[in-house]
Amino acid sequence: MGDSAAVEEARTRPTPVCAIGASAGGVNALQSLFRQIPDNLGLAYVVILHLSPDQPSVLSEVLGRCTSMQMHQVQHSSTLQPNCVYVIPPDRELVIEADEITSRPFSEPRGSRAPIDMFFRSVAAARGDGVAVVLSGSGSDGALGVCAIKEAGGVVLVQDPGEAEFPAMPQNAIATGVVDFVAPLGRLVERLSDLAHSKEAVRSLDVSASGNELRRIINFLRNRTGHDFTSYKRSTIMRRVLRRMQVCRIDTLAGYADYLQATPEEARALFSDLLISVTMFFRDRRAYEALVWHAIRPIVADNADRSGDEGIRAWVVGCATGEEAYSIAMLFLEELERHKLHTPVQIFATDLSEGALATAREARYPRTIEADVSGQRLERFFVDEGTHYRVRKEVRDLVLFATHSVLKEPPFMRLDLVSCRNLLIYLERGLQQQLCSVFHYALKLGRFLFLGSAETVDSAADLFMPLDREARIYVAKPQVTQLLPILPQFPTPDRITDPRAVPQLAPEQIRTSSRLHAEVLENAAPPSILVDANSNIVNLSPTVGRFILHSAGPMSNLLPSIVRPELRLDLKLALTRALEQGLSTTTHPTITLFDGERRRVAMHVVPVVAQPKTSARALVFFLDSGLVGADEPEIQTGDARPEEVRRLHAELKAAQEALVASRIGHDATIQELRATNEELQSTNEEYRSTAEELETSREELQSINEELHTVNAELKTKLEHLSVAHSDLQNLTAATEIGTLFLDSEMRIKMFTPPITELFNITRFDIGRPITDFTNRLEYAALVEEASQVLRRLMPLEREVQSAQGRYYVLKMRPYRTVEDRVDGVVLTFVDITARLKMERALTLSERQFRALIRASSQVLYRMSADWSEMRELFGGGFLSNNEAPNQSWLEYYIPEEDRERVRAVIDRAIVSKTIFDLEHRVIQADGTIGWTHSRAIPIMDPDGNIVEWFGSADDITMQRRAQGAWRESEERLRVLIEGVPQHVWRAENGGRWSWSSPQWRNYTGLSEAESRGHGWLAAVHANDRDQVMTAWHLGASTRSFEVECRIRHVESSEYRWFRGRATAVLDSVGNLSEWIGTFTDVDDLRKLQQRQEMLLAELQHRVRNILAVIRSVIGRTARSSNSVSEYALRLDGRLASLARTQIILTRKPGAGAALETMIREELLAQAAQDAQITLEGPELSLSAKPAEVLTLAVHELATNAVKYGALSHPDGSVRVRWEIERRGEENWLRLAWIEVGGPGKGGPPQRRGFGTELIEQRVPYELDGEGTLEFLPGGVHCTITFPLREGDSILQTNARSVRSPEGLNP
Amino acid sequence: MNGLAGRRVMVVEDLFYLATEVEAALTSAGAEVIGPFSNSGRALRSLQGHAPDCAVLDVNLGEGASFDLARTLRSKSIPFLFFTGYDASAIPTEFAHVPRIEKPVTIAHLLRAIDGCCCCPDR
Repeated sequence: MGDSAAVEEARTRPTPVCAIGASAGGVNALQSLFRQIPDNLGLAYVVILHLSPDQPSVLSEVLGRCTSMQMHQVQHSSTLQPNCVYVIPPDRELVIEADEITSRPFSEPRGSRAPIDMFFRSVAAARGDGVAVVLSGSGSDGALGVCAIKEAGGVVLVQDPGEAEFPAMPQNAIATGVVDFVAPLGRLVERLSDLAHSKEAVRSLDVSASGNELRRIINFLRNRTGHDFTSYKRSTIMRRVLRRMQVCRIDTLAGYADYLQATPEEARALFSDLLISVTMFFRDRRAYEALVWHAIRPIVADNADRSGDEGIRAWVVGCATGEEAYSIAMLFLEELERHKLHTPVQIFATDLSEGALATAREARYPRTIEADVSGQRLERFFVDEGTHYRVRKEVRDLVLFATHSVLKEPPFMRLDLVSCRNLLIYLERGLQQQLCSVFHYALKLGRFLFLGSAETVDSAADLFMPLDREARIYVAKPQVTQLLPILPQFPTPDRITDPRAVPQLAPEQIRTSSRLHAEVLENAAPPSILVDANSNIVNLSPTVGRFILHSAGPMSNLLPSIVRPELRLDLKLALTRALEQGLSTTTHPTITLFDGERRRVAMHVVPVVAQPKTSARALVFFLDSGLVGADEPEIQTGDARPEEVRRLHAELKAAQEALVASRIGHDATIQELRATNEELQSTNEEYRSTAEELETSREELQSINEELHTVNAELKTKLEHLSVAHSDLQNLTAATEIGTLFLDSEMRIKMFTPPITELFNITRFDIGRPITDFTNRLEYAALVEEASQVLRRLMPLEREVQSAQGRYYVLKMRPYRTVEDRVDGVVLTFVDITARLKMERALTLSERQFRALIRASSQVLYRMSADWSEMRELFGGGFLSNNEAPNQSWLEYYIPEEDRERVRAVIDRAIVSKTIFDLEHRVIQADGTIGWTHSRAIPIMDPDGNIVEWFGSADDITMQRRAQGAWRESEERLRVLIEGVPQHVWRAENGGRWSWSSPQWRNYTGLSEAESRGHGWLAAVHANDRDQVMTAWHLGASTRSFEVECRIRHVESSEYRWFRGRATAVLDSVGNLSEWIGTFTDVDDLRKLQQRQEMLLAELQHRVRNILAVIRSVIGRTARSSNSVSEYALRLDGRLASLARTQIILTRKPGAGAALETMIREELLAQAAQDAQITLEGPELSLSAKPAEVLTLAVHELATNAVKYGALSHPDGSVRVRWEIERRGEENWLRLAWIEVGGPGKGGPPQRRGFGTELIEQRVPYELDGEGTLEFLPGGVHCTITFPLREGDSILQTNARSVRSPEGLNP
Repeated sequence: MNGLAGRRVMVVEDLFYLATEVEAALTSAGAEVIGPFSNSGRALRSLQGHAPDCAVLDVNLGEGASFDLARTLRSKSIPFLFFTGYDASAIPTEFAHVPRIEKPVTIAHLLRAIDGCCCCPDR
């Protein structure tokens, strides 16, 4: 029995642990359990359930509702507290160390996990006691664990399989035989309470002081069972006893000892507790070393010699948890390796305990095996899986585990090695002997038996010979017969003898007399053989040997087959009668050959009365009737009818011979059957192997089944949540405006939200149909193709699609991933982005336009940090150099040094006031020269009103600045010019509505600027001219020119003067008339001059033509009055000269009259008259043209006549010309008198009326409306001319009278 | 030329020499000269009596151009012609169709014109 450190640890009094394992149906069981457990037992409950590794567990919540104890899901590690419940988390296993419980990832693959076993073992190893509870579940998890618990001294409780929903797990636990209580949950809780209390009591027991009671118990056990446990470790026995005390709820050892004696069942229970076998690797190291030396090496060596054989076969009987079998397998492997052989090795390992076998198959062993297994072997044959070691598959493959009862079932055959350790010690000697026979039978000759350190084959010394007594290694002796030993007849052989059978043993005295009688009988009685119901020999009497003659072939036990051939037929018949019908038979004597002797032998077969529990038997007596004589006829009674007898004899003989022949044939058949039987044995082994594999599979399936059941239980709890979630989902689906379409991998509709129906012609009845069957309203032909593509590539896809209604959607296709991350279709979502798209497009366009604007702009655009310390970006527009990266030294870069301070000051003001920065300043242009810019920047604020940055623009105003100066000068010049010109300048809209007038206009007309506006200026225009002016404006609208002459009133003189108005249309860039600019020029003087000039011209024409007409007349009249050509010439010359003078005077200056005195004097002087002879008297007077002409010509004629004939012809003559002005009525008249004095006196009037006479006398009256008289007196001529002085008589005075043009002359 | 014989022709001419010449020529052609008158006032007074067959008018009778007489003649349907030193521009448009003899001119030429005017006043 294994060691445990638990006794020592128990002293430290850790919190007692109650480990509860459950699986399928366990949730209900746990709930029920926890509802009933009182919360003050002082136990820490650890619940191990098979949870699905993928699902979060709600177990703690579920159980939490059932008890007031605290629930903990052990996520990492917890310290155990009394009256608390600790629950395993999903996909983890729990281990315990001292009071610390720790969860960790499973070290086993799914299917071979056994968290309950794991934890139970952990409890067993760490605590040495504890309570294990196994509840409902399928599978066998927990079975190994309870063994460990029990072995460590714990108590095992199992739910009644009848009550459990799934009974397999409780049943498997019960099958281990270590369970203390099997009960329904209610009773379990009671037991648990009792345990908790008695545990407390037992723990406080003084173990050291109870030696006597313990000895008493051991003695009692030895008496009862024949097994002496004295040599066992006391601590181990103590632990087991204490455990039993807990179970029996007994608080003292003495009490228990009494209870033990009073209760036979308790002795058996304690015994079986003590026998819990625990093996280990390489137990008894020395024995194993010997085994290698004596057995393994020879076996390997032999097999190396024989090729093609079936390999090495070994059988480990009572293998328990497999350590021994694996140990032997390792030894074989090592040995084979040493010889570099690959001989197949088959090790059969059998045990009765399925639980133990399961552990063995699992081949997982705690790390404590490090103590038993060398490091080299650990590395070579084990896989370190962290908390434990697992035997490598290479080794596991060698070992075949099977449930097998060595006492009941046929053994494995042709073995090289049988290892049966620590089994025989529990068996009675007789049974030991039989087992040895079995082993001998199973072993090949000369092969090996390996027993436990306390066992021997002394009971079967004829079969085995010791090789190494110490190591208990034996070799099978060669035997004549290798018969399968008779197996024990017990229907259910037990490893232990029923204690109750002990008292049935006969007393020694009875046994002795019986044997004496039997010996006497044996000697006296004929030789006999006892056979069983199958005619197998059970026992032989001492002298019966000569009746047996074994034929060739394998040794047989069957009496009818080995009795002397002559007797076989009769015996068989007799046995049949005896065994089947219970009748005694005595055969006829048969002549039998005994080593050349012919003897008559008869047989008497008696059925043995069957005892209860035994099958039928028969006793065969051989009755020797003595020798037959050599000649003696075989039939002595043939006298009566010898012939007939002879004939019958002959027939009989023939029949006998035939019988012998058929018997030989029968033997041959038996041989064949034997061979067949062996083959069947092999086949049987193979089936076993197969069955074991199936068993492994079944376990895995069961394990999975467990998980499924657990998941199912949790799923039920979750179902409500799911249905809530489902209804949420439905509502979400109904409410969402996002069209969502789920397609499976075949493009069939799985689900969709209502908006989808706007896009696809589907209804909810179409679910399951391919989407390709339906039309849609999308302008997106590649829908299905792209969906398939998403499925293939598993890459999400995003598209913008347009519906036939012109709406836009963002279509997102992504693979439908299940929770297990498996792709099962496609999910299409349609988000209506029409509005957004429109906005986006507008925004994009706007942005693009804006960008273009910026690019196209000749403006400078820039962004500045909040405090202008950094220029983030500047687009120079060709004016300034671009700045694309943030620039800290922009001020130095762009602003001339002398201006920086001023610019910075304005910036700082703008920053402080958070207002627009607006400044014209000088900048350094891209080409390095200095330019001017008008810069404006706007602060951009965050919602809190802090400046985020500045966005600004700047114009290049360099040229503007230069032009501005020039423009000002030009404007000034223009102003001076406009105000300086004599014209009135004005501006007007179309239709003559003035908008501006120059100062000259205002000064001249007295109208103010405002009064002149619009049509106000017309007030200054002469009323008669206004229509004309407006007409000109109307005309101007089409001709684009305005020209008019009109009279405008001068404010100071109130006179109208003529003005010429002119205006030019000012056109805008597209040729539309924008305004008029016009002038009024004073043309009044010009007009007057023109009129005068025209009149002068007409007068000149008139005058010239009249003069010419006069000249013609003068010429004609002169001619007629002249006597000679010379005279004619002279006179004409004089008259024309006179005319000329008059004209000269009159035309000397405009408006001038002819000064009368000057005119007369010149005329006289022209006649060469002496100034002294002339006297001119009269007022100063100027004459107009006609009187002047007439008067001058008259003076000329008078003077000519005076010079020629008159006073002037005489030196003393003189002429006095006197004139005066007379008033006659309304008019002033001129009276001019020409008086000659001192002429020659010839006088008298001329003969004919001359030119002069006519002039004075006729012309003056005709032309001047005057009078002319002429007297020819002796002193000379006296002439008087009078006429009215009328103004306007001079042609040059015609204009002086009026501004009006003369009638008939066009202006 | 004989068309003038017996015709009463009014002469209005302010220049004595021309007036006497025209008078002489007309008289010699057998016509009866009414006038000559040196101003329109006298001529108008004469018209109050026996009306002439036709008239020869100077436009300027020393007092500037005057057409009152011409209008009177026209109103009396007495044919007349202008005998003037002015060119056509000085004649008002209302008298544009009136024959016009520009000075200076030969007497013969003048007489032919007077003849045409008096004999065929509708021409």
